Amino acid sequence: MEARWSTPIDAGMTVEDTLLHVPQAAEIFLEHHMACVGCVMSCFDTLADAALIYGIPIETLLAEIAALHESEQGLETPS
Amino acid sequence: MPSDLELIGTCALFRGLPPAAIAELGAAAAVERFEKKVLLFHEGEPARALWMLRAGRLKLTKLGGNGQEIVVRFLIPGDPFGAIAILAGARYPVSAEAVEACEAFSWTPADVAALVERYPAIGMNSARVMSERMQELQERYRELATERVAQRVARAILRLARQTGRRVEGGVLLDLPLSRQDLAELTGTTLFTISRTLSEWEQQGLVELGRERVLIKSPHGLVTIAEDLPS
Repeated sequence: MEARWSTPIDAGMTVEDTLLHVPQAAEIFLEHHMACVGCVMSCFDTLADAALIYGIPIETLLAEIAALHESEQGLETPS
Repeated sequence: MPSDLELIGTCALFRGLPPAAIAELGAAAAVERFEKKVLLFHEGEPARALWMLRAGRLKLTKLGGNGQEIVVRFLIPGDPFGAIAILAGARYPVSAEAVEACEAFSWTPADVAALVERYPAIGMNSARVMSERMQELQERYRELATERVAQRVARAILRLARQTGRRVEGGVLLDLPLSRQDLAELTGTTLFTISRTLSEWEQQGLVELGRERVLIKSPHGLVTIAEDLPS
């Protein structure tokens, strides 16, 4: 499970890879009404492309995914 | 460029087989070469072999009563075809035509029968391939019955891009030797409608058309049309 989080999420990562590494990112796409989940072009479009298309600052999108990533890690870290 | 055995190992029919089985398949395979536009086999012919594309591109087609050709699907290296040869006495349900110079592996029905007996996974894999293709055809049937032409064309281009396209500067390039006629046959419409639709999209900056190539400049724009999303 730990290995799933080892790849850093950045603006150049494709939407497909992002969803593969952080499946919960689907929640964030849906909240922003982005049609990325299940999109046939998700293997080509990067997070930067998707943010641009939907007029969302890429920093915001990355921060939201990173926050989710951190909270999930927190849950998975043994006390 | 994968080796022949690596390519055979990636084929959906042979996935999960032990290396010894892949080596056996490699040893039993005949390699045949075909020039562009040559038919590898005709619809209705006895299925003399099970095939897998080694290099190039080909299309599977069916002929309508009025002589109009329908493209069932395009194939890329690693794709199996003529898998009906697994069944004794079967006939090919489609024709296979090289859309560019091709090389293909073939196995005789006797070889295939012996291999299926030794490696039953081939039988399960072939059921999976048939089921996936059936689902794809059902989806296309639904599109034909319920969707506008533009939606069907967008879907067909996106599906081909997903299967064979690559990311380049300025978009996603589909450099399959794909004529407008091929697209018309693939989407059940006329050459005139395809030309008009593509020209409109080119004017809108969604695609850039070249000879036997389509650059998808706005993948999202095409998805919007294909999925009927609010633009």
